[in-house]
Amino acid sequence: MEEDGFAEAMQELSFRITQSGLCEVDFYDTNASEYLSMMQSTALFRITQELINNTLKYAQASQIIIQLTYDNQNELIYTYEDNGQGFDTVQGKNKGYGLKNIQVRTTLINGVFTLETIPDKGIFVTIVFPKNHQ
Amino acid sequence: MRPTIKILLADDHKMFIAGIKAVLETNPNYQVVAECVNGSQALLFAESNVVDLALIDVSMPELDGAEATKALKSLQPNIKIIAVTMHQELGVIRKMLRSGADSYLLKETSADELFLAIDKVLLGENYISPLISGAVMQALKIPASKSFATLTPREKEVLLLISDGLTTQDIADKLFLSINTIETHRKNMLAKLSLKNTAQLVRYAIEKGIL
Repeated sequence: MEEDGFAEAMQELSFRITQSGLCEVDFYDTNASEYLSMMQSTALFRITQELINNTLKYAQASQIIIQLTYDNQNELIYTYEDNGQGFDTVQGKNKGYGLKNIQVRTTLINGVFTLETIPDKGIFVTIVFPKNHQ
Repeated sequence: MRPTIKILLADDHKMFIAGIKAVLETNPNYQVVAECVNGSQALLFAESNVVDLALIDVSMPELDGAEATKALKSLQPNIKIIAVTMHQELGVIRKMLRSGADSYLLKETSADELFLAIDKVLLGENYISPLISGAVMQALKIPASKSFATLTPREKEVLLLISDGLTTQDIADKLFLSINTIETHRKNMLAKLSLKNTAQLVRYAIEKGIL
């Protein structure tokens, strides 16, 4: 991914998945991506790929929504949601695998990762991390 | 007789350099004046020698293709640059073209096409290999991102409950989500709509007929 290219890379990824017919992916662009360091961009992009993989494999979702906002308190908020069946975070060892990667990547950018899953309504992931952590 | 075109080659694969040099020198108008194994060498050469055309690999150690292209163009504004690579990814193509490359070719390109690309760039035109034109077309089709002022279905759901006067805890209980997630929804809505507080959010909901 090129520098400052997070928004573009995300749009491209969203477009590709939507075009494939597997799931509609919407990335809500904000100027927040301007605040991202290269390391943060890379981490978020990889996390997104991991989450999309999980959704496509397990969730039977028809829509994914990804957003990045800046809350003016030196914090950036990344959210990822799908409208699938959700998944049991206790059962299914394979599913835990991707999540472990996500948690590690979140730690690298000093972020806090939370995932909530609601049966038949989907998952909601939040990653809150400080602005400009190099 | 046409003037000799001075060509610089930069690629960390020496066999590739040897091959492309052999192809180029079948044309007496072309003279390979430098064979560099990375971007830094190319730059060093161009600092003291005039180059008409540079064939630059994208992935090289010490100054990659994009950085080398940018630096060469600022050093010698008239230099023409052809990116020669195996990469077909949009991001890489975009990066090279933005750095100032006049042409983008894949290494599987034929000698005829290489000559065609050279002719084009020397005339001041651009040339994109048909092998990647599909990817470039695709890039143009990517729609602009969603309007920022659009609320997601879940945000609307939360907004509706906020407007009903429910506390964050009530909303969390009702939607089987944590307080933190409800807070995130609220913060996202404020940030997206450039609003300052919940009261303004409720007013927005009324004005937009979300309620």
